[in-house]
Amino acid sequence: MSIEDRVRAATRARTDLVRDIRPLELPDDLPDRAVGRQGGRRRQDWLIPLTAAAAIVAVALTLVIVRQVGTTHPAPVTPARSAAIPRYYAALFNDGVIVGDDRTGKQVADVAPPTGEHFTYLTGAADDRTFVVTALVGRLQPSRLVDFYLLRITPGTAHPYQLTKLNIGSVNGADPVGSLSPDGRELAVLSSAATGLQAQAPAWLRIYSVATGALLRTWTTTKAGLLSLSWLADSRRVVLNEGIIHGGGITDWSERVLEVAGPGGDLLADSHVFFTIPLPDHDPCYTVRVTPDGQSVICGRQYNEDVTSPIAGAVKFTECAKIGPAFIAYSVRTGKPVRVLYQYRGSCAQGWATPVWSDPSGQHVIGILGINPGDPSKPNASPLSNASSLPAVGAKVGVAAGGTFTALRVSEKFLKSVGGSTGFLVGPGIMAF
Amino acid sequence: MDIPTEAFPASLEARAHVSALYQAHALALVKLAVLMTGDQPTAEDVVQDAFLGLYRHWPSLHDSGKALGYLRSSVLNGCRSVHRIRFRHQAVTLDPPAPADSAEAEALLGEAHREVLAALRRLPPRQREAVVLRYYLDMTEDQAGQAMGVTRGTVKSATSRGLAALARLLKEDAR
Repeated sequence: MSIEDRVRAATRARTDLVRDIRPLELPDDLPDRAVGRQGGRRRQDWLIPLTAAAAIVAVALTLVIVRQVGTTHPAPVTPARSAAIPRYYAALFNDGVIVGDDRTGKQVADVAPPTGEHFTYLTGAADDRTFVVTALVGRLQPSRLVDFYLLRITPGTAHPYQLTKLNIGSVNGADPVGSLSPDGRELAVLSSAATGLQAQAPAWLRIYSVATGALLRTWTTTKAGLLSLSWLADSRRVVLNEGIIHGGGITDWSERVLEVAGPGGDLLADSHVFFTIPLPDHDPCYTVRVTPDGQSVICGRQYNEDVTSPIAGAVKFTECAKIGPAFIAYSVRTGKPVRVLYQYRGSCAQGWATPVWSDPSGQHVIGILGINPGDPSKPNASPLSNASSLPAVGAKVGVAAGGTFTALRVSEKFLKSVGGSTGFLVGPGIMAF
Repeated sequence: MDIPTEAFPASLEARAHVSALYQAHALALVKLAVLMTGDQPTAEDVVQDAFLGLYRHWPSLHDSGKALGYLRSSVLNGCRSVHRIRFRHQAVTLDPPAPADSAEAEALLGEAHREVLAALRRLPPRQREAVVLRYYLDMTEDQAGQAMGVTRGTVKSATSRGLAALARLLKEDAR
């Protein structure tokens, strides 16, 4: 083995042991006040005798190792103390991507796809400046050849964005989706050989280096129902969202966690399910999202005629106020709902809530909320069958927290395009922060 | 659904951005600092100081997209300071020349890795930086030069000397 390879292997082995770090400690004062005493005390710590420091590290490492052995739930990831709502977002619009500032409402960039391609899915790193865009090559079905592009934004400069094709090569498969690690270094790509919920179709999870495009690891499975994926905040673990299929349809959502530092191989053997949520007929979570600390799952609840009435086409507007669209946090540990971040309590014929971002612990969620008020004068009119005769859906993007929904300033043309959809078409990859 | 948007005060904005950057990058920076300093508590102190410095200077940071580059350089500077302080401390107290890794890390790493890491710790700081940035972070010479605040030529020579020194040290240890 060359010296270079030995250095690579040894440094990575050593840094793999670094897993938990203490939270960020910022002063309560404003940034422009001097905090010399705190800084001085920290520098003083560097002169502690090395034997004492080594002992502290030894104890800390032991505690980390003990905590991570023998648990079936993902070990918690230390989150930053304050909830930081990201300022910039990217959103799919007209086959391209628009980038905006949700504080000022201004558009930062309008990114057109390369010729012959159109953008279909977005994922973002934790810095709200780095995104990966999935681009479908051509439009023929069932051809699903996709390329991945790195989108970096630099608002306020002469060139506010840079779009770079990742050196991964085109990925084949049905509905490939990519998710960028929070540290922006790795891209996880999930793809399968068949669309929908067909059983026994091969599926792959591949981890690529963003910097070099190198394929780092591959896991395979023939299990159906793996639909989407996300990363935990430590950039070490990927969560796979799995639809449990019974009778041709999804009856439960499961979340499956995988450590990507492993060598690759059998996806089921190397991962484990840590959370399952049943989908009763009257209270469906149409989208779910694990929080970055791995301790909660955010359910985006949908409401439509299918879940309110045994008679197709009979809409119960008043039921919307009771079990309407909502963002609900479930505890991974207990499996129970612990917090309603926001629930729409008006009258509606149809409504959906899609979470697209969460702070580390799920106290603040950014989501897309769509409401079709319907026409109460036509109580038996189905929004799905009479969509053209009903008022347009009102869609908003905002922060759901503490029972309230605070709208963010997002592109109106994007909201209008989303407002024309049913909730089924507004998946988490339509927007990224 | 007409809901007003709240305004974000400047200090909260700084805290929000710095916290988000910490969430995204602190673990990776601590890992880098562990390779440079040899122990995690010191590495965490260095990284905390880097983020504190970023927070203090946030209002004068014209391009927040460069924050990661600032943090990485700040961490490398902090690690160099640790080395200088230890060197002065060692000169006064005749302590061992380089910090050993923690007992737990020693136990978990294989012997081959321990030898390489011990040899890495014996390199002069600039050579160690160049080798770590090039072969742990897979940076190009240009990227490493930016992080270290030196020219590409300096990175090239520091890397070359560092690798040669490692080869010599590991050969000596094998005897």
